[in-house]
Amino acid sequence: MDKYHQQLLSAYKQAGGNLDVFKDIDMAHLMVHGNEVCSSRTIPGLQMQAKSTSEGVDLKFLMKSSFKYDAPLNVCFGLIPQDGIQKINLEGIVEDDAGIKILAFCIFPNAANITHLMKAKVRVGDNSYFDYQENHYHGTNGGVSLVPKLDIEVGKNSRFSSQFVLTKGRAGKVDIQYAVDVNEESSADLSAKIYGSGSDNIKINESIDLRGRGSRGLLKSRVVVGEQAISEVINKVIARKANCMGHIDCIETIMDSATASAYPSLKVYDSLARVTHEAAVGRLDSKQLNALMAKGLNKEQAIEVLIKGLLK
Amino acid sequence: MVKEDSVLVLERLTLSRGEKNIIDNFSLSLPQNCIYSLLGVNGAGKSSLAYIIMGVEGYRPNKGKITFEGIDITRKSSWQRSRLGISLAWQESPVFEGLSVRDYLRISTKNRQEYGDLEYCATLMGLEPGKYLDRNMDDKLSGGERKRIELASLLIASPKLAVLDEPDSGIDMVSKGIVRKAINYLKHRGSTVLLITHNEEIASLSDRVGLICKGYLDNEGAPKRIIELFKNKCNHCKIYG
Repeated sequence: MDKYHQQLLSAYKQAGGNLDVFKDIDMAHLMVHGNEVCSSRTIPGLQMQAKSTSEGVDLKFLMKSSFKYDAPLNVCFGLIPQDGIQKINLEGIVEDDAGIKILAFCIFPNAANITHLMKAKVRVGDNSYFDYQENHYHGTNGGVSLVPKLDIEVGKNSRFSSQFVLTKGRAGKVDIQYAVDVNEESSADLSAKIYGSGSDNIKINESIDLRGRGSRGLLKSRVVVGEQAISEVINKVIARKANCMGHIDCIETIMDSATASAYPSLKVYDSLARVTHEAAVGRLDSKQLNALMAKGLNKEQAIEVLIKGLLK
Repeated sequence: MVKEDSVLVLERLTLSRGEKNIIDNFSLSLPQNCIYSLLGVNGAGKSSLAYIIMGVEGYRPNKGKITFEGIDITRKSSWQRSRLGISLAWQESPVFEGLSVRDYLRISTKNRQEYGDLEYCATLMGLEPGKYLDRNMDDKLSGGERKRIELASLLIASPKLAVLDEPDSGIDMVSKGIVRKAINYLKHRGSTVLLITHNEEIASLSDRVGLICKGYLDNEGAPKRIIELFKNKCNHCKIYG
């Protein structure tokens, strides 16, 4: 095991990952440092291929029909050096009557000038599910440029959920581009929680296209920015058929000289469909701050409690 | 009149908003372990006075002095006053996204040498721990439930001075015994209790009652007399429309 692999394991643990999953022969995992596949293991029903490229890894997975894996599949992408690039190309298929949960950690603890590009295309079959959680740690320098692009198609009577979490350390430059097409009686639930400070620049651009009758979609964003950080959230929901229901829920909280903007976009093509939104951009609620300070927390402690709550 | 055993002494407090005095030359002295009600109609300045005592931002008096246990706290912030032993149960407690009821109640145990048992105090306020403590402090809780959580939080803090702003507001008739229980608990723990209310029934639980009108202390005395005065005078007064 080379020194970077060892350091990545250590950073993975610090970021909240469970090291036991890499030893357990009944659990699937994949660990990638830069363009090197450090270790991987699959389980019955899950086909996984990871191939090194000059700047990253091409990854393909297939969850076979009638197999379900909730353990979850543990994935770790990272780079230990201060500088570098990591490009991940992902193609995934969840066949009909199948399901998979993926817990991914993207870790760049020493980043000064790192670019992490993720391009993913996943097809979720009928009567299936794909739950994806992505936890990030980018160190304290703000030296990561992160561009995750995700295109998902969700079949009939299926679901896709995604949780993006980047709440510790600095965010750096973040440009999330997620697009989900949802077919009949299916759902998509996307949430992003990000904390930015310093000169961090956060952009979330997510869209859900409710194409099938009775399909449902939720876009939820919680962003807290302080100092000179910038946040921009663009949420788009399109409802094309009867009984489609969509909702956008965006709260951006600013402190210091930070700025934030929200652009909810709703488009409805059928009179029996309904899409709603709530968006709030502003400072921390003074009533909440006063209530916590009257319980003995000083202002900094009260702000910390409120931010943790918002990003929980 | 300032007595030697006074826990809290307010001397000639004035709080202005533009040309108007919200609190006007207000003086009050609270002896240790007494239950004192400040009775007044809506808009009389009751809640403003509670915020001034707690040191809430934006409620620093323009004139006057506040002394707590012999210490001048006029310039101290709310969290400093809390750590000295003053607690406020808000008339309307805010909602907190991502904070459980347990998290919220635990805050009252921090920065204190003594505090009440969290589950006991929650139960006393009608909040069954298994049902409530892991719930979120969000708007799915009713106003009455949030009020009981606020009272439980105050009991856990075991303050030397407890200020209860309209303790019965939002609580249904069936649950009004909860307020009585909270007051009894505080009295038993040795707290001094200041009740801010326009409810004569709540005021009748006190050792002494003050009548606040247009931000000044209009009258003070035994509960029965002041409550009668309130009924006969304030309920027919046209000052507040």
